[in-house]
Amino acid sequence: MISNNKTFTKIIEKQLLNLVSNFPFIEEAVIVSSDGYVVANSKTNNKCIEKVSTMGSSMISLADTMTAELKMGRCVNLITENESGLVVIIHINSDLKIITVTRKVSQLGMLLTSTKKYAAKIRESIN
Amino acid sequence: MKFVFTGCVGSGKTEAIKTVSDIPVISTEAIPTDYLSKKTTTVALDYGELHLSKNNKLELYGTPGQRRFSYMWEILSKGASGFIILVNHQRENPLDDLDMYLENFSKYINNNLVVGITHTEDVIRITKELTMYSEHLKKYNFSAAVLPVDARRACNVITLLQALTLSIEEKL
Repeated sequence: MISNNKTFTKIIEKQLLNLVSNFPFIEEAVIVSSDGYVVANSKTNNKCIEKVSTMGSSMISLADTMTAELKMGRCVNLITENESGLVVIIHINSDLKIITVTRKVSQLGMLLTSTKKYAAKIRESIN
Repeated sequence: MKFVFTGCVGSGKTEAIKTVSDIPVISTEAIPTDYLSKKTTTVALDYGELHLSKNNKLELYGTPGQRRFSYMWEILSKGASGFIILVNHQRENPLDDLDMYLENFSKYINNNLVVGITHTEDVIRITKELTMYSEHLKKYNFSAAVLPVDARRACNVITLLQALTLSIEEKL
């Protein structure tokens, strides 16, 4: 179960802000609960982020279901490569996912690496 | 045929599909942060199959209940032959719940609908109250069967599916 206390949210928000400041090509970084609620967000003025975050929780859940059907274990990360951008979704733990977004289609490797790194950092900081 | 189960959180959609499916149900469940009385909640879809004959099956899809997952409602409704709205009779305003799903699914339902009333401990007593739901449907110009259902009982769920299938066949 996700803790709702402010300290918990502040720790995560700080990590998200570090992520987007260290990797400026990342347009948006969000932490979402498994059931689709935004827990922390690197920006506060993006109106569609709640809907996109909920969609992210559905997508990674579907990916988990698909990989389980294939006996491949749990989905490690989910990448959508799009005409004008990239989205990466990674499990932080069973309750939380991180979603990162960039418009720089050439930055897939960096996006994936940096998102994985911060997913691990957040996991460590909340344990 | 593709049938879609929808309705509020805790109305028994996942349970109903699990009860009658002939295959292991594909589920996308997460621990809920808002409905603490539930162990898991559907975040994308449930999928099961009921095999009617060798070459004939019902594909049973379940939607998430929460409005924030409404994009899944649209995705899952495409190509559906019929809809089952489950209403938890124990909720504070079950008619409001029914309204939400009727309004959001009305463009897909095409009058191919049955309504299952769940969490009814006394099936005889509830029979009188079913009229309330039937009358409510008339406001939307829907003439659908309204039946009490225990989502854990296969015979109840199959009765719902039969009612829906019959209503579709009557229109053909």
